[in-house]
Amino acid sequence: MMKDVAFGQYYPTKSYVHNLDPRLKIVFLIAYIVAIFLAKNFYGLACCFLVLALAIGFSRVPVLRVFKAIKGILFLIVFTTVLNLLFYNGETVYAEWWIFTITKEGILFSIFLVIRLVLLITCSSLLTYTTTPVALTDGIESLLFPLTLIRFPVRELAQIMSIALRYIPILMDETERIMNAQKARGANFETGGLVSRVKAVIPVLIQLLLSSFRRAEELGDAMEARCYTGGRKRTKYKKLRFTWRDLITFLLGAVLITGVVLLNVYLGATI
Amino acid sequence: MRIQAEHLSYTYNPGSPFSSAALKDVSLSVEEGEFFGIIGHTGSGKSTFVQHLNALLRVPTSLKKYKKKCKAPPSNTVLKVGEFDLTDKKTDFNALRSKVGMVMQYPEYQLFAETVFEDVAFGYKNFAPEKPTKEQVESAVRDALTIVGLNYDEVKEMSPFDLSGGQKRRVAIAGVIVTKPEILVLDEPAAGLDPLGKQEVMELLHRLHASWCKTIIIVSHDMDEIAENCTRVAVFSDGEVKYVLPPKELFLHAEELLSLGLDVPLTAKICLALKEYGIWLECDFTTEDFLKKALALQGKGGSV
Amino acid sequence: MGFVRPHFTRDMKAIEFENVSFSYEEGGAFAIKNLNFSVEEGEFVAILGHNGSGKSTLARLTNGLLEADGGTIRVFGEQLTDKNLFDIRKQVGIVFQNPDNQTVASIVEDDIAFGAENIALPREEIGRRIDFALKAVGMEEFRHATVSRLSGGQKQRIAIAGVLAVMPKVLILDESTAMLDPKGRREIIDVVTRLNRDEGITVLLITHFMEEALRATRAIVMNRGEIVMQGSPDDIFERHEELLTYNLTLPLIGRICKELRAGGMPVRDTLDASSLAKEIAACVSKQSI
Repeated sequence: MMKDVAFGQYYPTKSYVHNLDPRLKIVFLIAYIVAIFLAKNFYGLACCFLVLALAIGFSRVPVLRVFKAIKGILFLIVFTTVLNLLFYNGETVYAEWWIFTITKEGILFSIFLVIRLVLLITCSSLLTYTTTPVALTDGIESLLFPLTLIRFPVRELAQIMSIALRYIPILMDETERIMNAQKARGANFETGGLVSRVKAVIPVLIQLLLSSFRRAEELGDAMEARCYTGGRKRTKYKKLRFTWRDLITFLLGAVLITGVVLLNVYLGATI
Repeated sequence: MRIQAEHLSYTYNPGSPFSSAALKDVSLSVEEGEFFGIIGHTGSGKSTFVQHLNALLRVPTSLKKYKKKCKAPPSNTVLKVGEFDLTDKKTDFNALRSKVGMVMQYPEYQLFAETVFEDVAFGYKNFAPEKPTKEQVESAVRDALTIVGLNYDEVKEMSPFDLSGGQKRRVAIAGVIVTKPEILVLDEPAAGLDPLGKQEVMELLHRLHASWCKTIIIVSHDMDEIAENCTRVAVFSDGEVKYVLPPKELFLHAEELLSLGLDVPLTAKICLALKEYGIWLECDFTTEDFLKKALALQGKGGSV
Repeated sequence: MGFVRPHFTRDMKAIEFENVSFSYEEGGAFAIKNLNFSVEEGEFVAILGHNGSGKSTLARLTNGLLEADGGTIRVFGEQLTDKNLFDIRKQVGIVFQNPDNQTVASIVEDDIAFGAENIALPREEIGRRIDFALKAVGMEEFRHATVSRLSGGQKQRIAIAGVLAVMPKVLILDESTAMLDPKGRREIIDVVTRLNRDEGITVLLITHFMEEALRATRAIVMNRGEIVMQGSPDDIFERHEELLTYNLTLPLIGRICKELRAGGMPVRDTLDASSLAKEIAACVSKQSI
């Protein structure tokens, strides 16, 4: 049952966003992040927010779940905001105490920062909510394909990633099984000092390592028996397909970036 | 020690899109002295149930946490192993685990120490309330290795990885029973062994049953093994217990079992097929009894 | 340099071992000792033996995963060397023991495609091979399923499909049923029997489950790296006492038949419960008339 959780963030449902070409989603995410940081006034940010809201709406992932991702880095957000608030070098000083200064520019910058970070985290996690790790790997492989021209082993890298994805749930299951067996033999992972806990983990690591080697050996044999040689030219079965949906989304992305740039130019920068 | 479970439920990943109910309101008791069998296909809840017996899975005690996410477990849940109340957070789970041995599937993969001695001694040292003397450890390990049918002096210094498959499994079992548990639970104890290895493991279990472990529980897919060895059998399906019967009565339901996607012993299959010829052969489904009754048929012309 | 290889006039043997020896450590005990045997094209051969009898070593030698210390191995008349490993592996597929250690991808169709990609087939052909392989193992509806959610038997059928996508002429099952439950085991044996019968694939079934050998056309018993018994499964099981000396036992049904006969009920040896019931019924009714 742990193996389900291991599939990370993916939220299984059918939606417009789920069905998009993973390459497009990755490119779109990068463009979106660029747009967030290009936006120098609130209109630009509002624009970005609107797009994100639309994307979440079309993804059918519960809003609360999407924003849950922020919880993990809440501390980081608060920490950087406070730092910026207290140390930002601005001109309109509102308050000053010891080494701290609160300025108008500082307040604005902090607000921008919070919005940017929230948007950044939310849209990144939306990608992992709507794209399976397998599709992500395919997408990255496809996007990196031009690198094969400089002899970068994209295909092999993708193979490694794909095998890793396949074996993560298996190894997690195995870890659970080994730990259970150890607990049943009186090993204690939950109480006691650091030293005794580390001591309890060592046999688990030994067994996990042994079993990984055993698996790797068997997998190597199985791959070789299926004519894998490493060097030889291979063909590829799966091709990612670009559809009309992807085209629309692509246009939307382009509109967003242009919009943000135009808003910056015509309405001036706030910070 | 008696095992008593009432209204036991368990849900994996409650509240997530992957949530799955593994046990639904299960009630089941195992009496001291039984050689109990548990059958059911993968995902039927049998492993989840068994893992509760030595608290590898806990009865969800924190109602608050549970209630928010899904239906609260019935407050009348009972899970007792002898004197241990497993629904009580304050129970000494370590003491429980020394009394309820658990042998996982393919236990030989869980060997890790440099010598057989060290591996078998691991559990004994862990459970000992105070540091045991060298003599105590030695005698416990010697007893455990002897009862699983290995020669203590021959194997104690060997690396467990140099043993044969069947020997490895026996060392792994020795590592669990070294604390002389009263209840021993085994998940597929004979899986993956060759016929001789299988036979040795089953013999060893009966030896244990006659001496240290008053109660033995095996989870198995091999119905011949179940029919041959068990006093009673529980059938799990979809997180529920469908039957708890002695093999003699259980395998009379051969058709229902087959419809649940489960197998039946060969002897039951033959008896079922014989009915089509109007022959009713009543036996307890062990090979020995089947042969006796089948041969008796000859004299009587088709009814026993 | 154009010379034409002479055509073989004798019957085409799928696999031939000639005085093959192998040991895992130099100067160590032989895992395979001076082995001679051959398999005709289209045969279904069961190789029996207790753990450590050398039967798995034999599988790995056949497609060059292990290199013999001495002797000659021929696959469809062609001698196995370093140079033709790739071509030999196209003809001899192996399915291994652990269903979890053979898949390279998380999604069923991606995994089956792997072998076909390795032999550089065009995309459309790979698609056809996946169709064929999934159909052959009866898993069409699982094409887009996640491998880790399948049962052991299903995973193992996917492993067979992955091997079939390369379209080998020989399929070796190296204890592929050992880790499965009885249902999964039956699924695999059914699939393999069908492949042998309908697709004409030569099958080498390595197992220690006696029941499985009953489906084979020929059974070979190995002990300490040597072939010690050979014949039809029936013949082999007749020689009950001899089997015991190699740490093997009769399948339960064989034991029951034998005991019934010993007790005076003249049943013939049968392979399944319903035909044994028929035999018993025949004996009983004869008596009562």
